[in-house]
Amino acid sequence: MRTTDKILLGVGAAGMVALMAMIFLVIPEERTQGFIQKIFYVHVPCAWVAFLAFGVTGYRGLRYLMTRDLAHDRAAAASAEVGVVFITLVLITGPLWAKPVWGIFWTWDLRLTTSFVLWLLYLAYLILRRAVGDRERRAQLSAVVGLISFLDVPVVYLANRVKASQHPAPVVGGGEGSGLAPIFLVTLLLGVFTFTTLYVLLLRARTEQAVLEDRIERLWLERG
Amino acid sequence: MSFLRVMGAVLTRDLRAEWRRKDIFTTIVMFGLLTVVVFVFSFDPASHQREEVVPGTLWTAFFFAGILGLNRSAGRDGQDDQISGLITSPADRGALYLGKVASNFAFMAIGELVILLVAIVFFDLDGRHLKASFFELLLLGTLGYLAVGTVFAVVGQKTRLREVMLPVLLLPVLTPLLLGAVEGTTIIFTPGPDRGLGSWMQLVAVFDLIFLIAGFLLFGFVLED
Repeated sequence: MRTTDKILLGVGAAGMVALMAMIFLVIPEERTQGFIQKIFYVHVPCAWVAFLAFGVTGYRGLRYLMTRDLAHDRAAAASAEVGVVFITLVLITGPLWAKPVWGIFWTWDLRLTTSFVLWLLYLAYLILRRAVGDRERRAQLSAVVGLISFLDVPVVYLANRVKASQHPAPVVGGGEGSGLAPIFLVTLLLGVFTFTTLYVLLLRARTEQAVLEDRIERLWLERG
Repeated sequence: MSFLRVMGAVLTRDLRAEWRRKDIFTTIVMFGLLTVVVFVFSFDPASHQREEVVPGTLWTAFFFAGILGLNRSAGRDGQDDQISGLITSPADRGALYLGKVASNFAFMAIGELVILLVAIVFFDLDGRHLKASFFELLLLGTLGYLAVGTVFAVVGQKTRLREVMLPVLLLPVLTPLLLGAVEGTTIIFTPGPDRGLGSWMQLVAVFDLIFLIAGFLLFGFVLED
């Protein structure tokens, strides 16, 4: 384990402990929704990381097509895998909150639909990767599909925007009447920071593993 | 060869091959009709408002039938290593792409018209539903479908999963297009003024534009790897 990873792990672990302490011990319960509202401080950071991860997949795919350097492909794949984990967490924490507050687990609303389609897009991306044997071909095809999926995300959002929205409007920067009291904002930012650290850590670990995988694959091919 | 001549060459090559075998056309029509039949038996059209069931039925039939057509079309290129022939030629990759989109469009359009003829009989559609705006939407929707589908069909052929890969990749990307097409068609089929149709039309047009450009730029990477 490299020094950078150790630092990231330390910061991430400390951040996670602090975040849980803030959520369960410090911040008060929300007036109307009560205890369940606290899931917000996990839900939103997960969603942020998922979008970040898929952005990285698209960007690294583009870089691969420009340079043909497999390092970009490994990073793109690793980021997609981590992204799928986080978007899955979004899709689990969301309904857990929605059932007591909205009375239903799921509705085809703007942000819900976008998240769900995002999940489908990147699951398909990972299935594609498993279905291509040749290393360069896998990198090339998944870069193209990753880019097209990335371009699709804003269109999915746009499409669902034309329909009416039921999801709570963005709490921060969502226009008039939005905004969080300082203590809640600090908790949210801590959550975003901690989960981003976790993302970087997982991305690095998975990328490093992919280097080894590629090396093993090459050795097998050389042995014939 | 100039850009347009390459496009034309790909188009005529595909049309000639189809004229001899006619397998894409029969696949699209047969599968499209079966989809309509499945919907008729699943949702009795007599007990629903027409505009509730028919738009979704039509577009599902087009989308599903199109997947089979795209797979056949790309599968043909994979046979006898025709792809190698295409990529060893000095032809512009963008022109090859637009040529393939054009030939796939021809297959899809003919298939869609036959499916539509049957739907007219089954669902009692007439001039009040099949207005110019409907055909505009049909044109734009099919174009967007093929803009992505033409690329992904070749991707699918190059994987171990082959034909199975295409729907897995294509349907998630198409969700905004499907939404726009079905919502737009529902507005057109509902009696009264077509309020709100413009924004769905725009959405489908934006989809077409983004993915025609993306396909134009990326098709070469998919062909040669």
